[in-house]
Amino acid sequence: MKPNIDQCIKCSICNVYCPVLKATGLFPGPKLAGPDAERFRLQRKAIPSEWLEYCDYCKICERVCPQNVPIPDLHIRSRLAWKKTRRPPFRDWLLGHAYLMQKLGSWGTPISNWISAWGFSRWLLDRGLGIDRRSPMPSYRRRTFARWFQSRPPGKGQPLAYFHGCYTNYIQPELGRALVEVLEKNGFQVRVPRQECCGLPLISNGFFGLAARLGEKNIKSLRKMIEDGTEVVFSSPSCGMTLREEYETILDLPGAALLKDHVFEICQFLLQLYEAGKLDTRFREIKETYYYHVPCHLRALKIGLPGLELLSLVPGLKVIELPEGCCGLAGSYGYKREKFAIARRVGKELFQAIQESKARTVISDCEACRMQIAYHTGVKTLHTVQVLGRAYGA
Amino acid sequence: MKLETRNFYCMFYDVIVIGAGLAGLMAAEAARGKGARVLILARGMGSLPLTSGCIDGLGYFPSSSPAPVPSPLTTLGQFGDFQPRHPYSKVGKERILSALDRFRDLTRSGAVPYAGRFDSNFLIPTALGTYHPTCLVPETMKNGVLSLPGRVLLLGFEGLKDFSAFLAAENLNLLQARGQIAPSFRAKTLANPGWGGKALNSLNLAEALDEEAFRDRFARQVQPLLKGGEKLGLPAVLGFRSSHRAWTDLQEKLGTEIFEIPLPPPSIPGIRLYNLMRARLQEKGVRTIIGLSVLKPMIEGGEMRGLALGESRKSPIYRASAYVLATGKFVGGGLDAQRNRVCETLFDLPVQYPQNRKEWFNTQLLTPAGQPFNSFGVEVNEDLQPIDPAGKVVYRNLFAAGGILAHADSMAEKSGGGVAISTGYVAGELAAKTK
Repeated sequence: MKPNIDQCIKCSICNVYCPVLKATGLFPGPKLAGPDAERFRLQRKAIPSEWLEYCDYCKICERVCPQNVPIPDLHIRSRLAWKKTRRPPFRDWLLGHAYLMQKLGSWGTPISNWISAWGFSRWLLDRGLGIDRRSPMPSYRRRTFARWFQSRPPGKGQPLAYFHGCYTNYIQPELGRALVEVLEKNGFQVRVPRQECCGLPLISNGFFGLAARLGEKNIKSLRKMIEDGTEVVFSSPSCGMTLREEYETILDLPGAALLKDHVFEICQFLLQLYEAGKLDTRFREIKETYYYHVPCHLRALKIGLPGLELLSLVPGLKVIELPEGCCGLAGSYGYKREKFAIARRVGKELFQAIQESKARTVISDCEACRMQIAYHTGVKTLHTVQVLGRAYGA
Repeated sequence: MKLETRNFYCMFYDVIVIGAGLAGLMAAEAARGKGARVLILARGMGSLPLTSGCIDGLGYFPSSSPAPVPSPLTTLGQFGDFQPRHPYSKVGKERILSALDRFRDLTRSGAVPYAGRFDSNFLIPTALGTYHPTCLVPETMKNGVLSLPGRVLLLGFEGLKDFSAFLAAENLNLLQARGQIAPSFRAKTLANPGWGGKALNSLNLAEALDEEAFRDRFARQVQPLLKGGEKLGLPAVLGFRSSHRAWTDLQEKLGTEIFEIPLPPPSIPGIRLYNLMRARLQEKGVRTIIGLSVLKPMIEGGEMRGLALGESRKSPIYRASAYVLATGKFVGGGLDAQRNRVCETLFDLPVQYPQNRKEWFNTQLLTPAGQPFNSFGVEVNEDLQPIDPAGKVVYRNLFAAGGILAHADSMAEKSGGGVAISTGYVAGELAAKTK
């Protein structure tokens, strides 16, 4: 699908709300790097492309655009064309293959965690590869979600597939456990289909071919589930956005259209149950005030704010929406040495709002947001499903 | 920032406002003021960042008249006879006044206070050096009013392509020579504002001027350029987050009156107003979801039942007791023109326009009489409910406000802000009362 740049009326609203443009002079803004530069690219005229490296793919520009110009699409496609002309640094290959690092890290615990927390190794990664030594490094878990899931007896009820993604599997298996419990409470038998990394880290580092290979495997495996009448849910908005949107619009994968109708964000899925009067709403009272940060990629799914709606069903719980803004980490973006400070500036307003609110717990559906928020503000972070799990008394 | 702590019913609101422009935000404000739980759904950011940030009441009447209206309020007295179907005639004088008062109070409680009233028009300078009649302006612009005599230094920034101080000053002096405005102008350009690596544009300048340290440096550069007794006119970049403080502070530092001149989009004063209203609504617990490319209305038994966020039967559905349509005209996306038809994009409501396509346009692009298509829109009754050609209400619980309404050419008559605020306010209050 070719994006239509003639829809752009040059109003520059995208520039006003671009968090990266505000944080650095190295990026000329979504309008210039997107629809404006595209006119040169289409005529094969020389136009700098280095600046596309600084887009953090938060998709805010697309959201605020009154004309629905698919600006991030333009960015990522031109970035791909540019990347083809040069050899990407090993660092980008490595960050693109975060799932391999996580697999290795999980297998090698506790040694891998010592290494990743050790100042000297971080210094080496920083100097040698350009992975900023201050960036929030996760701690791997030996007992992965998949392993925990296999070890338990299968539940009963209507089957439902769960795309857990790499982070839940290797770093935060308790999120997956909470999700399984919430779904079982509502009468579902959770199934975990064979799955690879969704491929978003590879896409954003410019390895479309490798991402497409992972995507094909995922489509094949999910398709089998869907054809058997089993729907799919995901807990990570970024993975879900890749399955639902990028497979079709960016990677042009055959069979991707099928996912759009059968793969759902977990809170959206639970809201559908609620709508049908089938959600178990016997929530226990939680007398807490939590703050909620809406991840950019959840907004990019265009499904509203299902997490916020669901949490309003928990008695006693006060959930306050934080001001709209990007946290800055954007997957592997904030790990790169030349971008760490930009990522921090991008998230500055959000961090300030959290600190001023004296929040102790921030809910966010995206793992990258949770890492970045916890790292820069020191608050505790939770996924919406973990809160629901608690409200069910888990 | 203070944030609202109350919980809402899941997926069900009292009022859903569609559109995040001035009319939509004002409707949300009014409905929330009546205690309603409000949700705003919008395709994009709304068109405030495209506007000057000034609230035009009624600039020209009839719109082809060469002289600006001195007082929108007085002119409105004769208005109903000439334009009974104009949104102003439907809302009526009293409701217009109370809506604009409400708007002014709202801005004065925040960081972007406005000055002026509906009783009289200001003439303010534009970036091209013409005058623009408007009735409410941010305080940072009020010293630029062209009826006050005096000498003014217009200061531009070298490289800021949206503003040429020389062009503006030359054109304004022509107007002064003709006796149309009082003050005289002189222009200077600041070569180097002490800039870092960022591009020189209005947004970056405005953010820099939020900082006191930058303002200090700036004031030291400007001081020697000012002659005694001269006012200072600047492009509208005087602060992004704290413009009023930046303006007061710079006036103290330079010891003279300062005013801003609005620039082409993205307009900093327009964004300040958007951010002010949006933050205030969020504080009061109004939720806003922006970037929805698909909204599908669900209609049953002559009323609106919900809005689905997609085409699929599994798309989430937001419901409310009443709805306010504030999607604007062609630029906002509320109206769409096909070859032989003009349609309202969300509900396919009946639209007022001549059947003969030749009557849609004036062959001269910029004519004082305006372009006919700018007055196309949805016909409503006095309660701002869309009606069909037979005068029957289309949906019991649907109201419309702002640019989407027919019979107001905000471009030619300069009435956009006043129509948006007054109809938004009325539609919001009526929607809040609908069960």
